Amino acid sequence: MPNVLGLIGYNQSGGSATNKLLAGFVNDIVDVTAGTGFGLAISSTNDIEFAAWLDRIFMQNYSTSPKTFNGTVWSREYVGRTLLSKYLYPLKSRMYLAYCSFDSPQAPLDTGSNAITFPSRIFYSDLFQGNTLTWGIEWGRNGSTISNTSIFEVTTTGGTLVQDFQATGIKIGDPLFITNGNAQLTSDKPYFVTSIVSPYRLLVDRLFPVTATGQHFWVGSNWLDVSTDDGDYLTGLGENDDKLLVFKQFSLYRYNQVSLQKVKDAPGTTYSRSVVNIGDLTLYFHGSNINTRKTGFYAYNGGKSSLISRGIQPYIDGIAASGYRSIVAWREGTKYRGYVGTITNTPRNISVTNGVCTLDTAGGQWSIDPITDTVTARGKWVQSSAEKWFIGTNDNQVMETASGNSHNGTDISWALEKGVKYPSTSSVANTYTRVQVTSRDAKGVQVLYKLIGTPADDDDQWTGLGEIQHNQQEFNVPIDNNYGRGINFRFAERGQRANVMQIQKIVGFYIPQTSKIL
Amino acid sequence: MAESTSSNEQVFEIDDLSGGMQVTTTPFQKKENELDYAENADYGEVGGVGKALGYAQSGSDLTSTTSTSTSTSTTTTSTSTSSSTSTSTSTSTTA
Repeated sequence: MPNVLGLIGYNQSGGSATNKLLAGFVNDIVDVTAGTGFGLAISSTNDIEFAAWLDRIFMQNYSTSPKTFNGTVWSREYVGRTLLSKYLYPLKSRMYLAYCSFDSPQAPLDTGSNAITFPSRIFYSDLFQGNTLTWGIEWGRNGSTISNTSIFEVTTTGGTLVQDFQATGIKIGDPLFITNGNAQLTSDKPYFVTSIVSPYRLLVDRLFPVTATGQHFWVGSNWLDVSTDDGDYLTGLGENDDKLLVFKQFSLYRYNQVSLQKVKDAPGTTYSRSVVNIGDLTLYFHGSNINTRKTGFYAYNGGKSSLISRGIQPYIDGIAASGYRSIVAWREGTKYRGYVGTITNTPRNISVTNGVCTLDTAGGQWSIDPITDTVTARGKWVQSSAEKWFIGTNDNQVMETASGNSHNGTDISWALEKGVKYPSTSSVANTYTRVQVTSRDAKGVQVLYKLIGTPADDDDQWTGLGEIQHNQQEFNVPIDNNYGRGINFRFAERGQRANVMQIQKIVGFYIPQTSKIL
Repeated sequence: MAESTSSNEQVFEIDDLSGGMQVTTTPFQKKENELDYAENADYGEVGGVGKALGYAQSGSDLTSTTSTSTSTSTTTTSTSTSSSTSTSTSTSTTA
């Protein structure tokens, strides 16, 4: 089954207030509610990234020409001469694009006749003015120079020129790069624009040494470099405290529209879809060498980034490295939920399928939540005045979350293991007699126990005490297995009960004994 | 009739389960309210542990509505190595 490639909610401001949930799927974008596509013939199964801005939805997938959606149709409005990008993010008055390359037609090549990509450069739009958005960049394969003049122009032997230096917002001072063609021109340092004479002609700061046609070029200055040639590449964009967050795999930066600042000793993210904002925090996943204990979930608070998943490190260690670039996260109220897939840590007896690592940021509590589906995308949508999150799966479905008491019809497994309790310190064995459990709406929940140090070994299997029938429930500990230094409890249930169930208190009765280990 | 507690019987109580999962320390360094394992748990009510909500399908299964474009690109891709100076006003500093 094909993956859902991207998700976003469109909520039109004012007017007819058109509201749609849009999903990238196979080679199209689909209105999830209506079940109809827009016939876009997208040419790739790359992730489709969306952003809501200027009352439009912008889409990029680093392959198909970018488009915008106005509530009714997809078109090239506002993105007529825009680079392809893997990531996009609107902040304040501009749209930022990360990990870019040139769109067809006439994408320039480098001197080796290879496509040009910018894995460590961010491009951004001009300010939106006069109902027009420009990007301050132009490119092509039809550049021409005239020897001993400062004239650079685009030419065609027939048909319409695709370039327009004026309409696309080329500015005085913009650098002009000649990337393929005459060897003298391509090896020369950039020329700088001194005048935009016409839509098709520029004047530059010095004389061209040769006359040449068919030169590959690009011109513009709406970009900033993020530690180019450091062996790393851009992996996503975000926002915190009104600043653009720029992620590479192994580093994190913040940009205040004036200067770029590297966050000290902060790793980046291995997948942009793990990035979620909750309150003051930007939470994300970074995967690298597990032996250095740097792999895990991080929280950036506007100043520094801290590893926050240390408490569940054995589970983090169980995420295969191949899954680091598939971790999709979303928000449910105060909860950060990160889908990590399969978790296998055999020495720690851990095996989870379709695992979600959940952090309730209100209290800092973690849980590991197996679900039924593989998550590939996430998106937010205001539906009927309620803000909701949706996840897309690898079997062409879109789910609203949190919603209902099942995983799309499949029972939800629930379990709680307290951890060993040594009522008399770990040096003293006890005879356990009774256990009382206080709960609410927990009828049918199984209660089990394990003894630790009996007196030297630990139980390797859970022993059942029974099922909860009442809010105040007492269980007798079997007399053939009631002697140990510590005791652990497990509660478990599987079904679709309403989520009002609560385990509130455990009381254990015991008689201390003396013991020696051997 | 309720049974009385044996004169030797002692009691321990665990009334705070709100610490969430913590499996990185030894059992002896674990806080009283921390858990070995919590699966699809909800900590909304302080002190107790409940069950999380699930998820439900929105709309119907998605279906492909257009044919795939057959255009292909034959150029190879390389990383930009431009070392030219830039007129960009941004600066990069280490925090």
